[in-house]
Amino acid sequence: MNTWDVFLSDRLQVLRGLDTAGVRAGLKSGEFREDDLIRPAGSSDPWVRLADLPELLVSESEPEPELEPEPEPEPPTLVETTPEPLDEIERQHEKPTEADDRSSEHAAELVSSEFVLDDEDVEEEEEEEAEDEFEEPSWSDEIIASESAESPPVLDDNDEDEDEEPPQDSLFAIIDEDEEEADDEDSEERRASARPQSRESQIALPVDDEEIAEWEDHEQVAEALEEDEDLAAFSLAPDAPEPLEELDLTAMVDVAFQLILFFLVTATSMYFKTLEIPAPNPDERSVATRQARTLEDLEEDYILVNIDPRGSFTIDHEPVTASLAAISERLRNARGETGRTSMLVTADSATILRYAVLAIDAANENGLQIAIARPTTFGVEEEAGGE
Amino acid sequence: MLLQRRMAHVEDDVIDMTPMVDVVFQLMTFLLLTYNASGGPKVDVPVARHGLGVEEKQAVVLTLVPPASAGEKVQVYSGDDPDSDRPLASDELIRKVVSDALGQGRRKVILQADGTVPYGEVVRIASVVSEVEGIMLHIGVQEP
Repeated sequence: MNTWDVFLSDRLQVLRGLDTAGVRAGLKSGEFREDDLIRPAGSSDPWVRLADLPELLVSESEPEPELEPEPEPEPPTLVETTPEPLDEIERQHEKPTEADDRSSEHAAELVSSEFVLDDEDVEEEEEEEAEDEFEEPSWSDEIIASESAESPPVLDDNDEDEDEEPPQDSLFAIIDEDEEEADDEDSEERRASARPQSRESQIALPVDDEEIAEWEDHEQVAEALEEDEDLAAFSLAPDAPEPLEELDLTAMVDVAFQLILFFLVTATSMYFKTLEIPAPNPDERSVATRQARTLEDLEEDYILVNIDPRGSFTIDHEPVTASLAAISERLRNARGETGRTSMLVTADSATILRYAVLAIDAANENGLQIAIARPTTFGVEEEAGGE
Repeated sequence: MLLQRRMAHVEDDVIDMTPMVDVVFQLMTFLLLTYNASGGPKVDVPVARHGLGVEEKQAVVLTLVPPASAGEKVQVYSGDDPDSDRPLASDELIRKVVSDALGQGRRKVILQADGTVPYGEVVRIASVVSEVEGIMLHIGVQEP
């Protein structure tokens, strides 16, 4: 009893050890399609399409149904039709069809296949397939080139295998061989049948264990390259200094100066530092109206401070050093001892103003009222009291 | 291997002059608005620690310059006189200046007398000024 290995092109799955009845049952149930590949189980014969083995399609026990002659397969539009622009061709082949979706969905089922694949490889392959679905097919150029060429285009959706010679047992080898035979046998029909009719058959074809091993080597190399890239990210050079986030203070400086200017303009522009002195009474300027008082009378009410033209100070007839501290101390003592709260400044006309200001300043320090005597050459005349 | 050498960040050493220009213009504006060309003679007023601050807007300033020689009268200049180089010749002018200032609401009279001015002259000018009623007499001093 013959056993067969069937490769399901849509699911990329190989079913091994099926008998003829199982194959027929699969075909009947729709599980297998005519585009699926088959070969004797355990053999290294090239894969052939189920449609190319009509003996499997018909059961020996059952009468052969009258099959309608199969219509001649339509030649590929790429050969007979007028050449289409490259953009249109690419657009046609870039459109994801149902078969592509189905193939992408079943890509995860590679684990159940007899291919020795790891999970990581499956994920990588899924990513590659997802990327490859919308990538410009590499055989688009080949298709255009084939329009002018007599030989049919060799479609290959696996770019990694471009540089590699197609395995002898692959479908490509079959096509090549068929191409060679077509020149001899002039069998366009065989060439057309060998050429994939639909996009589903353009998916990656089953490979042998040798090819699987080679593919794994490629994966290892890719992993090595990725590791190198990870290492490449490490650099011995010092990291560049992080760009400091600078705060622009220009606006703040402008606002600050605006405020300063505002307050400077609106505030008081100038102040004079002064000592307030009692204004002389103009009504008492005449001699007749002046009321002369003796020193004894004045000493009872005022602390007498006398300043001579040389700048010598006497407080209550006692000499004092011409300094603010000494004068202030004497005035404080005199106030404390006698309780007098007023100071009378008597100075000669020739005395300079600086000494008089010194006495007035000392009086302000002790909180004494100020009285200024009108300088005259005869006696002392009381002026109006100060503070 | 893809050993990448990262380029060091090139820092810009150029100083931004914009804020400095703004500050300069601010200072110029401030000085233009607050600058008050005060003419007149300069006097060295006496030093005092316990003085009172009088705003310029509230007072009239009379500057007493010491005479060139002893025995002469002190020269009185008015701060309100645009011709600050011309002293007030008479007591009448002094009273007039004070009374005009009093009419403007400036009751305080500041005698900015030099420290070497004779005390008798200061008292005399004070007596002349005090003839204008309602004024408050001050002697100008400075910080030690």
